[in-house]
Amino acid sequence: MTQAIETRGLRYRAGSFEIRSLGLSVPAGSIYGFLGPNGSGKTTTIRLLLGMARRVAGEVRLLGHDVPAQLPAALGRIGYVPERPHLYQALTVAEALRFHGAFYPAWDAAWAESLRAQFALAAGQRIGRLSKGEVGKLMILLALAQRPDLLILDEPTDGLDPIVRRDVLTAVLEYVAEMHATVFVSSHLVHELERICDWVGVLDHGSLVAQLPIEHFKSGVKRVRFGTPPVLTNGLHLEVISRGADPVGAGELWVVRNWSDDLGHSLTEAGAHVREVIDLDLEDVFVELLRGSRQPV
Amino acid sequence: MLRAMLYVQWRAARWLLVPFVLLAFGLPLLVLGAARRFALEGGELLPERLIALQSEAVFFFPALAALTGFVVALAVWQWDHRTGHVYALSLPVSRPRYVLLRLLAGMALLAIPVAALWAGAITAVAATPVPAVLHAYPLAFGLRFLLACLIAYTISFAFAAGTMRTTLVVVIVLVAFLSLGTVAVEVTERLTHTTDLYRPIELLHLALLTWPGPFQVFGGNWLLIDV
Amino acid sequence: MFDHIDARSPVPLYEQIAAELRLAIAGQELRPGEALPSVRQLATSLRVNPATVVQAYRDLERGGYVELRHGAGTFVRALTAQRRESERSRQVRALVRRLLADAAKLGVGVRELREALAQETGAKAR
Repeated sequence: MTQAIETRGLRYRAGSFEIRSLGLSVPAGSIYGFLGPNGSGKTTTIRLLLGMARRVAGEVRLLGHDVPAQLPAALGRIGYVPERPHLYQALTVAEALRFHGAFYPAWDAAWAESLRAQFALAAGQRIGRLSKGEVGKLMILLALAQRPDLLILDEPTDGLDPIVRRDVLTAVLEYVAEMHATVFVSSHLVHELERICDWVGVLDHGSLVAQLPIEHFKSGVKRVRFGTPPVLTNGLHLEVISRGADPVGAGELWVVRNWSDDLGHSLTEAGAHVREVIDLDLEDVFVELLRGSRQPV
Repeated sequence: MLRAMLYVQWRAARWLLVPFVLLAFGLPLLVLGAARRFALEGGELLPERLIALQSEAVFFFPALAALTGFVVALAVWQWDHRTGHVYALSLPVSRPRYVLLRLLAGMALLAIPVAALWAGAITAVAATPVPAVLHAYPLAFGLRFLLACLIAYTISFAFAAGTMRTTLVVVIVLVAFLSLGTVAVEVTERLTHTTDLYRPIELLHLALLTWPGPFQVFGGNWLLIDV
Repeated sequence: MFDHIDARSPVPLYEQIAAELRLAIAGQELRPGEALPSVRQLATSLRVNPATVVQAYRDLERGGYVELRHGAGTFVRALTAQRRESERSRQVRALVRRLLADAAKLGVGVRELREALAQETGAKAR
């Protein structure tokens, strides 16, 4: 099994929201960032992956198991952190650990204890009385202590303060370093994911706009300031995401998807004047990509 | 897994059980105590009066059983409802198995009020000088209560497990059947000038309490001391 | 070390890490036989994917800067003086290349740069 998560032709509809033929492909052992603006369908997709929502058509495979036919087997190896806490509020931390652990074959009680101490969670504290950050840490703890092969994290750090975010991230990275698990993390906090993801998938309005290794994602996408913009002909393999007037100086500012030095040379030879090529960080790429997909050039 | 489920059920419902435990224990004592007071004549308990007085109160036991079963069923699903059933869907157990675990754990909880009733019945009987022609049936009484609780629990469980929507649908269908059916019967009677048609409510009552089936236990013999 | 890891830069993260380590090894900041931090430690302290660190270490191994000893860790190898020199000069040239690129963006010519360099270094000597 080379893909930890695989979907083919996944379709879903709820009211006016629709997911059309989604083809997710998450390589085993990778850290896959599932990016998308709010409302793009990230949580819905995750629920579809885990069989919590019923799909209209398509195939879903988790760790090689078909969903929903072999779902319980798969779930025993998957650590899931949902967007909103799903814990029983009246239980204490220790009781929650015991309850959770009873269901997972690979549960590591000793490690759960050490993580609990590491996260500074009082064993006797009721979950309903924990702070938001503590709940976030507890949910990661529960997902990690079952020693999963796949972690599915739905906005795990949303609304948490930076210190807690670091703690959560560190715990996940330590686990990945040790176990070579796959991590599928959805977020709209792109900066956080930038350093740790090796694959990204971008979702917008229920469609996968891009899915590729992070270097390819970032390296090809550039902002190019043209003094004299190139004339688009069929011969030029220039993937333009957007173009508009240059806010600084006279000329145009284009966002290009497949920039390379060779391409720059051939454009210059064809008469264009390249003033500057600007690197983008992941968030910029993400924003430009979305803008471009919503208003195709 | 069952142990974990049982523990969680206990935590979810333990305080809720308290009034039912108290009622289950106290009711037999109250009923027999009252029967004793009013059936006593010349230092002896009159059998006919003892039975008659018990029969007055005979409604309370099946009602308590039904209520206990109903409340426990609701209580065991309460936490899942509040958390959006995420646990039910994300734990590595198949849905049927998860539901079964909950069902069994809830049944184990029912043992507590049932045991309380048994204790109350035995205590009440021990405190009552039973006339020679009558016998006490604490065991049968307790078994009947257990059965009634289980039936009420199981049926309520099926509804409590569902979404609000399915429960609402069932309730609406039932109410529609009763009300529209009554109207239909009235109209038919007027039009055909007959008077002996069963009304839906009567039908329901009959079905529940006399037709052979699980509900019969609610309508049966609830006397602790009888011939 | 490692303060300059920039996720924004077009240079891949593993390359940035490897470059910093190469510089440290060439500049004797990391001595031969010294152990590099474990993959796990470095990944968590830099908050990067452990696979990135692995890639960086492998790159260094290929370049002959470190050796990966299974189970024990990653250790710095002794570099010949010549090697160290060539690595240093590589880094310095890269530094200059970056400076020239930035200057070109601002339209600053080489002569201006040389004058500014003389002024800055002269001022320091004084």
